[in-house]
Amino acid sequence: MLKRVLFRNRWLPYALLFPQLLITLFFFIWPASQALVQSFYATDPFGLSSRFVGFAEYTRLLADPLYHNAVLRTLVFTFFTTSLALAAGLFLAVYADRVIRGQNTYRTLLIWPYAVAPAVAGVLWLFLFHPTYGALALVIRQTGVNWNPLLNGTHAMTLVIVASAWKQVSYNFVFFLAGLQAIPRSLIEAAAIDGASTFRRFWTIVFPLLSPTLFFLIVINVVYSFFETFGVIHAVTRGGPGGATTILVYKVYADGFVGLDIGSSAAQSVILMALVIGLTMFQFRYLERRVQYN
Amino acid sequence: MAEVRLDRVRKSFGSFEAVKGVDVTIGDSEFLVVVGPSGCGKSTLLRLIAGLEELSGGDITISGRLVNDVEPKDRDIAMVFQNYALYPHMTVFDNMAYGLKIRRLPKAEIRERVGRAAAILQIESLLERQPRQLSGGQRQRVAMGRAIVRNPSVFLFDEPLSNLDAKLRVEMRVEIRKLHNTLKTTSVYVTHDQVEAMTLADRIVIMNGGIAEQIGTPLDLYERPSSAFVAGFIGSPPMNLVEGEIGQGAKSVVLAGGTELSLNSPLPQGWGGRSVTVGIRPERLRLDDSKADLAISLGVELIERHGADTVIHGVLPNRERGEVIVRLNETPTIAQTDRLNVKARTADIHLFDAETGKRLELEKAA
Ligand SMILES: Nc1ncnc2c1ncn2[C@@H]1O[C@H](COP(=O)(O)OP(=O)(O)O)[C@@H](O)[C@H]1O
Ligand SMILES: [Mg+2]
Repeated sequence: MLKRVLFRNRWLPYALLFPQLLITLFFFIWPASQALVQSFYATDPFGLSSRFVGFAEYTRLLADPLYHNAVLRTLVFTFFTTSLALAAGLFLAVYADRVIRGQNTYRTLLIWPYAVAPAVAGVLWLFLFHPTYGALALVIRQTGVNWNPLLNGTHAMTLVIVASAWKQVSYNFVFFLAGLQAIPRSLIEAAAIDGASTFRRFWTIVFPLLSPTLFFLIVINVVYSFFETFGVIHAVTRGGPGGATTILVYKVYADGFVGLDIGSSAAQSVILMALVIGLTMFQFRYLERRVQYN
Repeated sequence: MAEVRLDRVRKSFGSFEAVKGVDVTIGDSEFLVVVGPSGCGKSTLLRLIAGLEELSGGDITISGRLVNDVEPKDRDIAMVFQNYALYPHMTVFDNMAYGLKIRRLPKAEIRERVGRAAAILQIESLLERQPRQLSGGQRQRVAMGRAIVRNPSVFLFDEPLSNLDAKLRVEMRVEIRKLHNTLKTTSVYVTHDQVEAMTLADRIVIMNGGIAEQIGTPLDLYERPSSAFVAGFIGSPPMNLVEGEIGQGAKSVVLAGGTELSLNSPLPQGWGGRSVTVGIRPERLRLDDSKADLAISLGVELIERHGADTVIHGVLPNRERGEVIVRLNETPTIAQTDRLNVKARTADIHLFDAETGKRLELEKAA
């Protein structure tokens, strides 16, 4: 339930909101509107001149096979990152929920990755899987696979997916664990007496009751994969090799700051912005639906 | 149909012993009620029978089969939980059919069985609803329905009525007993409410601190409580328990405050001067205007007129804590502040050892 507060002074609520609004204005509204404006202009690489081109940047973008590839790559990346992060988070939460002694220790350890900065996480994973000095790369090579994420696009993609998912597992774990612990134990016991095996109890009772949590986490993980994995990719592959790990958000950076195609980059960021707004609205709309236990 | 045998059943949680060796055999189609104050180990005992907790010691046998290591689903039991534990994402029908589907019964038979149970419990019109669309009483019925469709050999109830309001509780109590008279399924019913226990039970186990204080029919417990604890727990209002001492010569007891009650049959000589707890049920005290020496003289503190009966709260002379409750079928004309003389028959006087609380038998002593 929402808590309503009545203010005596009608200006006080605005005064309290002001700092937050200021931050939003300077760090979101202003740059976002700049991007929006930029996307309608073609600017030369040195930023000296620009002219209005209307939707030309957008039509060029949408016809560009490189952009199509990036969209496809992003979908693949997002699908695997989200699935992996959710599956691992759920798996760990189910087992942590069963542990009785030392639950706090497990919980703390499992939450740690979330506190690691994306770039640091990226460097860490690169360190482990670097073809020449990576400890785990050595193990993979011993199985006969010619492991080389620096040259092989599929290997590079696998590595950024695993590294990105790893960072998100903690978040999912915390929410799944809270979801599991909100399920009354008597429900599981009733199902056990009704004859359901552990496996069946999970799929017919626990999992359906977790579905609001799952739904919430899917949205969060998709948003994460789309937008917040920049740091990991930048640290591990820089979008390479040969653009194999250049997902949409990385392409905005690569085209704008490396390729100096400001107009295209701005159009791309506007499209991404529209996407994140759409996803967030979708989430708010359906998040209200909650399961009741009593 | 089944007999359930508990043999020196014990359960510890870490170093805390919740059930300390309970022996009881629940006969085929018997309705056994386990009653006791909160935290005495009733639920734990029930969960041991269900197989939801592992035994720390002793044996449990159902229909002659040792089930110590048998999974709950293979014990052929059904349980009704205090919070009903209905599956919130399933309809009433699916809630009731869940166990049958797992047992792979044919669809037609599932429909038939659920239909029959729903008819018995009068919830046929609710089958398509979700649990959250039901009232407390309806949820309670669905929980019962889920138990009876499986047609198990033992029903286990853990305070199934304690979440209902008083009126509904009385109605459901009657229905549960009627249901048992029809189905005759062996039942173990846990409650903290002694009225529920007295009205439902064939036999009662009264528990206190993990121990079965007494096992017997409701009337056994009422007439011959084996300890002061049982005496004070069973009956409403509860039995008056007053400190006292056996008189010199062992032919009487002296209540705190000095009132002496003579006993028809003398107690063993050695008992003279022994400290005891004297118990007399409120409804066994009678008004006595004869001013006889043996009457108990009470100061009247409060009179409750219930219509059918009158409950008088009185105090013994010179004693602040010696409260005595009298329950009369008639409605006498007594003003508050009056003094009142009451007396009891020797047969209605219960004596308990002041230290152990155990019953001292007057007849045996004679
Ligand atoms: N899983 C458990 N872990 C530790 N202590 C428990 C557990 N279950 C019950 N107890 C303790 O055992 C005692 C008896 O509990 P219970 O059987 O639930 O009592 P009640 O008679 O109220 O149903 C209580 O003191 C309770 O705190
Ligand atoms: Mg209990």
